[in-house]
Amino acid sequence: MSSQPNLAIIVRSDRPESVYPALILASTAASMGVKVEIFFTFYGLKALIKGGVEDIEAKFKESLGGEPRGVPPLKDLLNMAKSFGVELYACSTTLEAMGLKENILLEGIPVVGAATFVNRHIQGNSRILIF
Amino acid sequence: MRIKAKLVVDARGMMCPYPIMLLSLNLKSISPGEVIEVRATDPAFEIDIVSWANSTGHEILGVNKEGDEIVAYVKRVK
Repeated sequence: MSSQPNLAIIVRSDRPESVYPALILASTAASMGVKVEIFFTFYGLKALIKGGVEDIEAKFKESLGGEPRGVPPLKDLLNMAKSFGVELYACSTTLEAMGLKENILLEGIPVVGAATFVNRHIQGNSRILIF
Repeated sequence: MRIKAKLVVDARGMMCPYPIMLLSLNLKSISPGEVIEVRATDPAFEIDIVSWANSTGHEILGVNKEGDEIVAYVKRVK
């Protein structure tokens, strides 16, 4: 298990086709023992804003014209990811650029910059996925 | 093949990643050496569970098909 790579995921979009697969892969990988971190930046930060995943899910339902079948609610996916130890980070520049304050985010989300992400993943055994 | 399971997880009607998630979550509530039975209808589950076991080191004792249902027996190893 020690040779197993870490998974570093960047979510930069609030489109359902970005956020769903990112959270599905993250929670599945974490349940398989992989250490996973997700860095939410630009429009992707929406997923970490209070009520954000509900909005993204509503957009998905609207485009489908009904309830998605067999897919967990996005909020459940986010909670499952957290319960398996997936670490979620918010991009500080995005908050500033969009004029948002930290208290708009879900509880317990660290706000970090690019250097933190680079430092954690540029060396060692991380695989990076961008959504 | 019929195996005695400590816990049965019903993931029928749920698609990826739910069956694997429910398996992983519920596995924590049994002890090493005990067996969990997972029932799923997601056709990918039959292949996914093999990959999951490869990564986690838990043991698949058997996978049966009962109509549309895939029934997997997994032993918690550690």
